[in-house]
Amino acid sequence: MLIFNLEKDSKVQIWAGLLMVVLTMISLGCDQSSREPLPVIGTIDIPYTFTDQQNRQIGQELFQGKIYVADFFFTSCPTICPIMKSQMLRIYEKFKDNDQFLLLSHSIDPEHDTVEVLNDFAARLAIEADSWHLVTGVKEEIYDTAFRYGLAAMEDKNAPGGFIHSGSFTLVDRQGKIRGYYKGTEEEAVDRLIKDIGRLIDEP
Amino acid sequence: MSPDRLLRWPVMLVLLPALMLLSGCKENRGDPAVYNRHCASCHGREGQGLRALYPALTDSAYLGHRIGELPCLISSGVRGKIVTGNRTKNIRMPAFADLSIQEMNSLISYLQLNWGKGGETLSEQKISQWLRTCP
Repeated sequence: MLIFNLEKDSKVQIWAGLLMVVLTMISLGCDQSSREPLPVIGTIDIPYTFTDQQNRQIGQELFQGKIYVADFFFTSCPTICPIMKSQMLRIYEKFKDNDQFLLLSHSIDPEHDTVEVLNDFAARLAIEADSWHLVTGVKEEIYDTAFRYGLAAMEDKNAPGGFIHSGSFTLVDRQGKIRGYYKGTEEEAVDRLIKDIGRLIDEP
Repeated sequence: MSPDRLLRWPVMLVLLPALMLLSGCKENRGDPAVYNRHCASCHGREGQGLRALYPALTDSAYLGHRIGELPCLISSGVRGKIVTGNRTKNIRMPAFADLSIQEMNSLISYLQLNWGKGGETLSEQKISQWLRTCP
């Protein structure tokens, strides 16, 4: 009841003062970090071509000069993928009309996730193939691609659905540099990702 | 009256209705444990589903007059077409064959309490009886 006790007026003032100092520090800290560019974590080099839900061949050249977010999933995944996809949809809805931006989801179960299955999946999510590519391909090449994006993916018969994979999203800039990793299962992390995409769009 | 005592009144006036509201909200929505562990990632914490990919549970015949079919549907999964109401949907849902009768009862009670249309009173006996009729 300290705050309501007028007799302890001076204590209230001290607390209010401390609060102001902390808030100022936090806001200054935020300004500082948003002025600094996002770090460069690595360079993307994918020597493979994959096939998307429209049966088009998708190679790295499609992403040259584009900002994009990549992830790994499979359509019959019973655990984290649905949450990742609902978070990815938030990013899609925000940037689908921006021609500098793309989304790229790789299936780690390419034997099941054929072009037809991916096409049906995309239709159910009501997503446009030109903004969000769902791709399938040679399994070993997809797993190696996950490694190149800094994400884990492997088969494991004991895991639910038969595969283990990272639930993270990788953010790549126009020069093919990795600029951040974000937990695709956490709303706050994806809020941060959406902000960071905006920062990359503003980069010269 | 001292300013100290004067200030207590507004505090009480805010706290009392807040307490009343909180106690009023304590309706029985069942135990979400099984639902959150096995179902929420696809069907959503609020049963809202995800577009046409994972159906919403908020308007399902399986939580109304077809509730007797639900234990088999959950334990065997779905692969292909199911008809609910006047809509046919092509669905792929994994089988949850490892749920115990207790877990199944807790889950279906939770579904019914949150998104069902009332009616049928559930029990473990009834669930096991329904499970014996699975195709």
